[in-house]
Amino acid sequence: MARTVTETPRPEPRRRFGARFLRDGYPYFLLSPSLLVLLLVGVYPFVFMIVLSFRKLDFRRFGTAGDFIGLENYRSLFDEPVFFSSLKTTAFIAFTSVPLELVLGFAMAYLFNRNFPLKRLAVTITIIPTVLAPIAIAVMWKILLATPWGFLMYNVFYRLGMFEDVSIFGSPGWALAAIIAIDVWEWTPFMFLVFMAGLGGLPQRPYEAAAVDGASAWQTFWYLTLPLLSPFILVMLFIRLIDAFKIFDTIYVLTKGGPGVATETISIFAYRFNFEYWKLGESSALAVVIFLLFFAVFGFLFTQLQKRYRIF
Amino acid sequence: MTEPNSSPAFARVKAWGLGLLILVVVANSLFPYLWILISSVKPTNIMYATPTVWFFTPIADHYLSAFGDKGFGGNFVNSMVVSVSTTALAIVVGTPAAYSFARFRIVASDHIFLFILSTRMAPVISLAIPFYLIFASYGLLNTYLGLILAHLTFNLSFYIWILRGFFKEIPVELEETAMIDGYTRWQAFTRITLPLARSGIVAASIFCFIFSWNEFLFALILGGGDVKTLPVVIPSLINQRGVEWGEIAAIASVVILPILILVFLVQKHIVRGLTMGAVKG
Repeated sequence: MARTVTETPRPEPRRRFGARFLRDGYPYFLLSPSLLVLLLVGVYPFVFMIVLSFRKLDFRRFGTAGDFIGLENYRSLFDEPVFFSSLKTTAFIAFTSVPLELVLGFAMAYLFNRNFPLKRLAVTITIIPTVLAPIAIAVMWKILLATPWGFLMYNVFYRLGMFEDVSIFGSPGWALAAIIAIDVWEWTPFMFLVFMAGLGGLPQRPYEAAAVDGASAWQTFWYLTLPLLSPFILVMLFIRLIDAFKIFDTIYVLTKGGPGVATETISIFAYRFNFEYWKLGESSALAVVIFLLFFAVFGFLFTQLQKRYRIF
Repeated sequence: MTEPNSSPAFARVKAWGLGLLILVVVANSLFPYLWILISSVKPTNIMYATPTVWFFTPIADHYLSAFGDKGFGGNFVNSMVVSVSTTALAIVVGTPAAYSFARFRIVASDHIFLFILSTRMAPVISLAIPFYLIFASYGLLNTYLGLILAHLTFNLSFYIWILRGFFKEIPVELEETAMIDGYTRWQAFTRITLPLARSGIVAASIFCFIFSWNEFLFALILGGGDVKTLPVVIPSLINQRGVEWGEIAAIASVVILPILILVFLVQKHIVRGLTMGAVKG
């Protein structure tokens, strides 16, 4: 663009390099230690893994990279039927438990969305499962469901005539149901908490208008509350779905993926593949595959959330 | 406008019904962790009794034998060392980064952010496998340093992410005024912004501690005999013969109790902490 005469030339102060660095480089100087650590613990392992996944690895010659074998590791991974069944199991658990958590969490938040004595304490007690160690949660349920003395097992299920000839973690269907139920118990409070925040922050005006227009409770909920809460719902789905795909701790303690492969999720499968069967090459390939799946889903959802709803 | 159901009697029934429902919801969350605390002080001879024994004199035997004779006190120390060090490192390394993100224009900051958030949410198992191989060749397996580094993958990113939000809420004008009054940027940061962000820093640190304290998969894979944390002890006890449920309940209770206390300290920030700042709460 041509310079116009009226434009006053801006005086550019001459600075020494040091001063310029202080002005422009300062932010990066503050940032660099963190980025260095995150590159070291986040990117280096990933690159390392990609390189290894194309090589022949032998646990007897630990720490030495073997010959280049192309896609051999990936091929033998895809030949493993449990790989696909574990993907399916993981998806099943995630897509069953997360919607349940969402609906129950909303119902709870709706129930709590009024004033009552000791509300703060009640809310805190209710959300605690979400911040407890999954390992401790697994122990809790193991004790509650122990045969025959477990509190729930004896006082509820036996009374109902259940689990008299099958054990809960010994039958594929019940084991999977129990894992999902425990996940729901653990994470519904999270949904509840976020919905509470969402409901608490709803604007009053639209509701007054809806009341004036004679909208029914159901209409108000469907056309007003739900759309207003949709950013919250999307954030929670994003966080929880990604989390649910990583489920490991509770299953490791309760069933170790069994009986058979009924509750073997992708993380359990990867763990056993590497640390029980010591198939290091295939495990590297598997780690890369899990990573890529994660990045595809995560990247897509994240950019959608950020662009459309300006979340994060 | 008269509704058929607006009589005072109906209102009372409704209030009681809702109260009862709330009670059920609270009890549903509370009972399992309360029950494990109860089990940890229950004498062994009534532990497995059916019907369930409700009233008994609590005993400390399970705690004494688990943390005394069996030496799980050492694992408690391991858990503490790892969680506290990870948190301290996150504070030292992460605070300047969070400040930088909140206050300056950073080239490609969106991409850097996406990267930071992705290290927080990345599947642990596919980081743990390469960590295991890398650590094996550098002698970092079964060391505090190794496990602390691994825990930084999720905690450092979490800390930066959350603290940036807290810093952003402090008006930049406060710093600018201070700098006009002759403060350097460093002084403005340490004397104005940092004190104002203190509650945020404390909350973020408590969350880091909780995440590290609860973490299992990295600890299982990377921490061997010398740096076994408390959560890692539990599965090995469950899968052996002649399980001592009282002792396991005692260990699990010790895993739970610090969290119960800390939750009350961070309850104001808990929504933000659990949603990574996406929801302010």
